[in-house]
Amino acid sequence: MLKIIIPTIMLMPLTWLSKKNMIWINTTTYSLLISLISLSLLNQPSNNSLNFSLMFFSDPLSAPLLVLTTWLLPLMLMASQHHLSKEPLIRKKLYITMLTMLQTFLIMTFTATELISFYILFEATLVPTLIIITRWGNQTERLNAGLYFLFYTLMGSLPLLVALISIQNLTGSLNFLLIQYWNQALPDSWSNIFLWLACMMAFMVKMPLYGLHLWLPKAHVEAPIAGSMVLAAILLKLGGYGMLRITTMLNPQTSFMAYPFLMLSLWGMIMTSSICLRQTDLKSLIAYSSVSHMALVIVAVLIQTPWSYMGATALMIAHGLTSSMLFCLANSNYERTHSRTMILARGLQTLLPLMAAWWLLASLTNLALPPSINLIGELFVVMSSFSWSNITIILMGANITITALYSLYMLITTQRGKYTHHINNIKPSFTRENALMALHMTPLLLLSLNPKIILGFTY
Amino acid sequence: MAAGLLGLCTRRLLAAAATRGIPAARVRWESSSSRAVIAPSAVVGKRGPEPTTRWQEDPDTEDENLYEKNPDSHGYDKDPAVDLWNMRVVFFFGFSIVLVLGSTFVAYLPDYRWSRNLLALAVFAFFQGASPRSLDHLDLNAAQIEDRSKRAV
Repeated sequence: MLKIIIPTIMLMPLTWLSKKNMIWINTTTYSLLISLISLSLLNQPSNNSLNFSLMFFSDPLSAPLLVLTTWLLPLMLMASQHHLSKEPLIRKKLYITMLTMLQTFLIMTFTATELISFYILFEATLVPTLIIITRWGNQTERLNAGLYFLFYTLMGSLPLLVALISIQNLTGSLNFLLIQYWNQALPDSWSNIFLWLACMMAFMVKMPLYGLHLWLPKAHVEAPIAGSMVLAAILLKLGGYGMLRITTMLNPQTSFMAYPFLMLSLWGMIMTSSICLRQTDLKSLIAYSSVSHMALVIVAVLIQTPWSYMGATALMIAHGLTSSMLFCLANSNYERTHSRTMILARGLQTLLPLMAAWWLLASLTNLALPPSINLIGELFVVMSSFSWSNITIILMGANITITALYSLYMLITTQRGKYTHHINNIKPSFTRENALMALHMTPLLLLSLNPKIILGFTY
Repeated sequence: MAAGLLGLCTRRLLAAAATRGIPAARVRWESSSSRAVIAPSAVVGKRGPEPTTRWQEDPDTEDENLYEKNPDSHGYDKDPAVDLWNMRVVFFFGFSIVLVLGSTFVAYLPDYRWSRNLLALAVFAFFQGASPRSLDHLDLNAAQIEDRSKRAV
């Protein structure tokens, strides 16, 4: 793991010591090379996990998430180059340092063996994200967004700290590799019910579960492009990853404690999809779309069957790439019109046809068109939830329909129709933007050829 | 509430003044809760201009058109040389190195399920009494990947 962590940490001195005109080139190059190294983690010869040391390990669940994390850093750097072009050099370097710090914490979080270490790094990821949102966000609402983001997550995760310390007392170890062999069921008592709640709430807030999701539209909308990308693509998946890890220790309470959260998720996916249909703000639409997709992941994780775990893992990777791409597309609109309102930048297909092609592809993957991995994930989740309870097919089917509706609504509003009179002087698409979209879409399409690497440890 | 109602009355008065050209006090009204601004027309006429509302989220930026100074701009930097090299680096490392080599690596990853099954069968046979030499000559067709469709959903 040090072959990934040390080069990532060294991106910080690279940024500060690079010449003024080389900071972006150097950081992009080396972050791409780091993502190449991280692909080696997909080689999982053991049935169990790839153990690097006492502190770091990777298994078929964390390896794809790690590859996604390392792949996203160069994309974030490319996306940020334009809006930072007028900033002073020191601030550009600070921004890249924040992104690199966040990347380091994320890599260590996904590969941590020990739960307390996982917790500390999970909380540590909040700090650079908060700085990015509140310092480099565009509107005054960013301060409120930062507050919501920080305090929602902290409120959810402080009980987790108490729970982890209690479990450490009980079992003697919080090492993932050992705990998966801990076959003792938690005794049925009120305190263990609260233990279950304490363990799960942090990840429910992070996912987010509908009802605890209010921080997400604010944070996603007010963050600059790199902040939105990393929030949507990786930070939400921290919640999913945490839930997948911690549920191994929380049986048999999960079988009955999961019901209220399953109901909230099943209902929440319909509600948030419906909210998407009424959004005027493009970034807000994509943010609510993320809540809806993550609700599917919550359902999958709480059902706890092999197929649902495969669906959850596939959906996390697929959604990571898709929503990051949608945010980049929204940003390309924002950089031209300086407004997030969808109807103010409509009819763009005639003006920017190649960008319209990317919009089409992103919208199609968002609505889980076959044979994309989005479909594979959603299908596995729908099938396993139908197996769990037949009635869920009604809600799942409604969600898939409404997802298609708002994805096409977003596409048609921004691309089709007559363009407005005030946007006939927008600049053509840059190579940077097209390369950014291609670097999102190509892995997504390649994964549909070989999805087994993202199907997790139950494949 | 009173302030809101007062605002409402003021808005109506100003709107009436704007549309009907009635001379009214030159009052500029800005909402405290939203970003709406009602500004009466400087020209007293039958129909004044529409109330102004800021439609851009960050209206004070001065857009620099990178294509103006460098028609071949790739969008990375103002300096054409840096811009060109940045584009080359992104395409070379992003596509040619990572995507090509990475997807080749992933495509050639062995199917560990098959090899693990094979080894498990051989070890099982050994413990059932097969000779140790059987581990040197494994029957490659013996290991079958289980039919996943028969597994519980």
